[in-house]
Amino acid sequence: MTGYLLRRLPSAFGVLLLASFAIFLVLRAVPGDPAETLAGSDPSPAAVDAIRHDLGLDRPLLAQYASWLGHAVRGDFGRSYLIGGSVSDLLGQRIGNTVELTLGALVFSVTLGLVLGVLGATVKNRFGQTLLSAFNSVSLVVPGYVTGFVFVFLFAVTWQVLPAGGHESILADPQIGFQYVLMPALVLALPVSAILSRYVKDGIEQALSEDYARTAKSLGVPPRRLLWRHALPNALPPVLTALGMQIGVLLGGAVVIEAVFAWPGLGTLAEQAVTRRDYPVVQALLLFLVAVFVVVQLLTDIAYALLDPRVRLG
Amino acid sequence: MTVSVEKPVAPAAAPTTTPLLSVRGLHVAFDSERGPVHAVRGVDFDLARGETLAIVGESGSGKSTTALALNRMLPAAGRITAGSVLLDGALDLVTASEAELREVRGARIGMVFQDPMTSLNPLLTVGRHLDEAMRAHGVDRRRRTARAAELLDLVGIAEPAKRLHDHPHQFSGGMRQRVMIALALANEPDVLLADEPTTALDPTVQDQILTLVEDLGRTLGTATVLITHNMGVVARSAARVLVLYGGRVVEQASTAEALGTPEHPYTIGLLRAVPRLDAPYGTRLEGIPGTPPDLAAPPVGCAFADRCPLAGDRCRTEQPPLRTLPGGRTVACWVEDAPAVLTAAGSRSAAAAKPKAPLAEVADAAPVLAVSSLGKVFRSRRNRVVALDDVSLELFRGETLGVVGESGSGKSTLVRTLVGVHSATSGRILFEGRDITRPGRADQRALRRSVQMVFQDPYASLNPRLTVGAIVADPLVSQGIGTPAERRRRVGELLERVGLDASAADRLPRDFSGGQRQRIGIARALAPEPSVLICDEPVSALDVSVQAQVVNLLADLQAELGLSMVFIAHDLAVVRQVSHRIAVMRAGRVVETGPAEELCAHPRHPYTQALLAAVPSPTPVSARAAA
Ligand code: SF4
Repeated sequence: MTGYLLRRLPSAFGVLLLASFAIFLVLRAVPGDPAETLAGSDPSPAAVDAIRHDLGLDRPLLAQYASWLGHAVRGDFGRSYLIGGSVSDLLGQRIGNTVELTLGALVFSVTLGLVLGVLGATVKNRFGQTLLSAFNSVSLVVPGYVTGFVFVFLFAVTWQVLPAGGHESILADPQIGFQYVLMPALVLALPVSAILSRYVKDGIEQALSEDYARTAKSLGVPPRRLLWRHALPNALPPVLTALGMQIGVLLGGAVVIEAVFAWPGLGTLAEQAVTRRDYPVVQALLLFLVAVFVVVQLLTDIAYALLDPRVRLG
Repeated sequence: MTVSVEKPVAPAAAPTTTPLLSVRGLHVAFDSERGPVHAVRGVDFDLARGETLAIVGESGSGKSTTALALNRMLPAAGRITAGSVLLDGALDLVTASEAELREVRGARIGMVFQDPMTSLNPLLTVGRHLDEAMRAHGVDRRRRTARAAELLDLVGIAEPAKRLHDHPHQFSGGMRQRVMIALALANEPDVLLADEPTTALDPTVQDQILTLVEDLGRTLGTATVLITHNMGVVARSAARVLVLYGGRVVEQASTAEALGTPEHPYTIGLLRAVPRLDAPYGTRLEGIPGTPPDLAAPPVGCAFADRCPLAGDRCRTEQPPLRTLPGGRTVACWVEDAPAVLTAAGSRSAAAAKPKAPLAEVADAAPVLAVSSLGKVFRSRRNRVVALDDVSLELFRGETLGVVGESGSGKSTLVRTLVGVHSATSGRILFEGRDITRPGRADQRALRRSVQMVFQDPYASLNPRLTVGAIVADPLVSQGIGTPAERRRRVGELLERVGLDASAADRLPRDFSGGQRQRIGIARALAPEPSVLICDEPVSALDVSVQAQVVNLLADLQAELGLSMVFIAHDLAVVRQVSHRIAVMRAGRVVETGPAEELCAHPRHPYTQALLAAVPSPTPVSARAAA
């Protein structure tokens, strides 16, 4: 297992490095000059140049990249042009909240996805199947902000059982924190759970049609055990791959959902930074996203190896 | 082949003892786009305790469906439409509840399936598999743990306690089949249903598995139903045979009777189509012309009527009932002395058949294809596999060189290296005197024309979207041979030459049966008038009766066109049938080469001897003893 990890690590770092360079270049290529934005209305060229020099933007690109990278590996992502303060601090304040929301959504989508998927593979009557597929289609098609508003209207306005928005740390007070995270996380989770349930359902149906399922049946293994012990584990690897990809979707979706529920996370920060060309913040955010992808990919592979002995030993 | 074990004797039909399994009027239908396919249409048989019964038939005969229907293991599209399956004369498995069936499956009836590579769950250890099997029938945990190792030991797996922790992919095919048998026998069932248990295995492994099943059946007193298409397997393992055709039993008899003095025209035809290692060299095989009936629209009369040389008017309108002959054997045929009538007809056709073309005098001729000290090594990150090791072979004009070997012997690598898919690591390949080990562009073009291939799988090797005409013309088009009109004419000629109608050119591959598709594949190979034909397992996916037709076709074509042929297969009897010389391969080396007849009669190398001994002969044991 350790050997397997060691084999996988170099490529993970490679991807991160490449991505950091690409992010750096792309941001420099988009039109707009942060120095001009900073200099205020109708600045003198000299003032703009001074600001540009101050920010190091007049140096060659590669040199800028090298120094940025040099600092970044030490955890220093520079200072925000606009909001001021170190980017790391800025991100640090917000990351926790977004992670909390995303993790909450992850837990919901996996649970829902499994339950719906298993039901989809086992419920045989037509009414049940129609209900399940209707639920799936609605979850997939309706955008998060619409579901969000509907939820707020129902649970916060009409029945007044949950807060309409805002955030309380779940670590400080689990009960209150849970009330705040419940709605946004569920809204975020719905489309992902619909996708996962599809994979779970297909995976189980596939596994049940395999020869080994026939073997188990011929031995008198009860249907329930056939499902959970023999079929489900074989259905999981593709589900896992899908989940790895969906984590990106969750993070992306969080940006929108945070706005709907006034959730103080990276989403709100990203919105501000992008509109004002706050390079260091955007850079750090994007790199963070890539890092999440790389780590998730790595975790997916590890989980794969744990699930399937052929990968581990092959 | 010597059989040291005694055959289980078919118990005399004592009326007082109820049979273990009693099958009556079994009908099974599958739903398909074209409506129900009546795969099994009224099968009756009894199975006594401890008995070994073989159910033989070709694909589509309903043999596997019958086996799966016995304990209701049919796939979702299949259902039993009539009949009963009585266990102990009491419980009818056709109407039993799911709970009752679950009690029967594994505990009373164990099953072994054809493909050991897919029949075990890749994520569960072998120990876990055995544990699940016993747990399903309430064996307590302590007992299960102890018994799991015992079971692996019983089926001949070394270091059983250690191997319990291994996953299926860590076992070879033969070993996995042993595990399957251990699973099926874990709860000591009274019946073992084995559906083509050795078809996916090499002959030497098949031999071991059959011995294992026989021995275990005897020691545990298990009755075995052996589903197979292989008459040799029947002869060595079963006491009684049920011959199925078109979903019905056409003949039921003791193995000695069915194989020694078959009564039904189909059984007779089937046995004549089987290549035998002990047949006089040069005997021509007799295939059964035609194809099995379409069971979506089953014939009203005898299912075999379309292919039967004795068919009369009554055969097409009325189904022949099972007649009981003296000694308890039963036959479903209107003609009472079918064997005698057929023998008269058969001797006529045998006289008409061409003997195998004698090998032209080649002593002074240079070989068409010569391979010297060929080596091929595959390297991956972690290991190095020697697939070909110092292989030297020669192929002369007009000669068929058979290459036999089991999986991993390197025979497929040899083919791929010959046709340039792999490049040789060492050694030389000479084609008509030119070194083509690393062919230049001109050589490659010449080779693509002169060396053609016929592949194993007639389903996979033809593009389903192209018409047969386009498929056959493909080598001509890609090599720019002829004008469109010439090509069309040539395609028609070729199709007729391989025994198809020229009108076949306008149809799609899916309209043809397996044997016909293989004919199309052969026509395509012949299109650019090659001098060498390389056939890679060309008949191993075909049924025996069809296999014989294709084997004969290849032999005729070779004689008529003066082709040089390399014929690769794992079935020694087939290879002997078509080859002038045989090379035996094992682990990347040629261990023995010699004239076909000589090599099969007097093998020198111990591996050739083992290979020959492992091929079960379709001659009943009693007849062999008498000879
Ligand atoms: S019943 Fe007629 S068609 Fe059928 S096998 Fe006998 S002779 Fe042939």
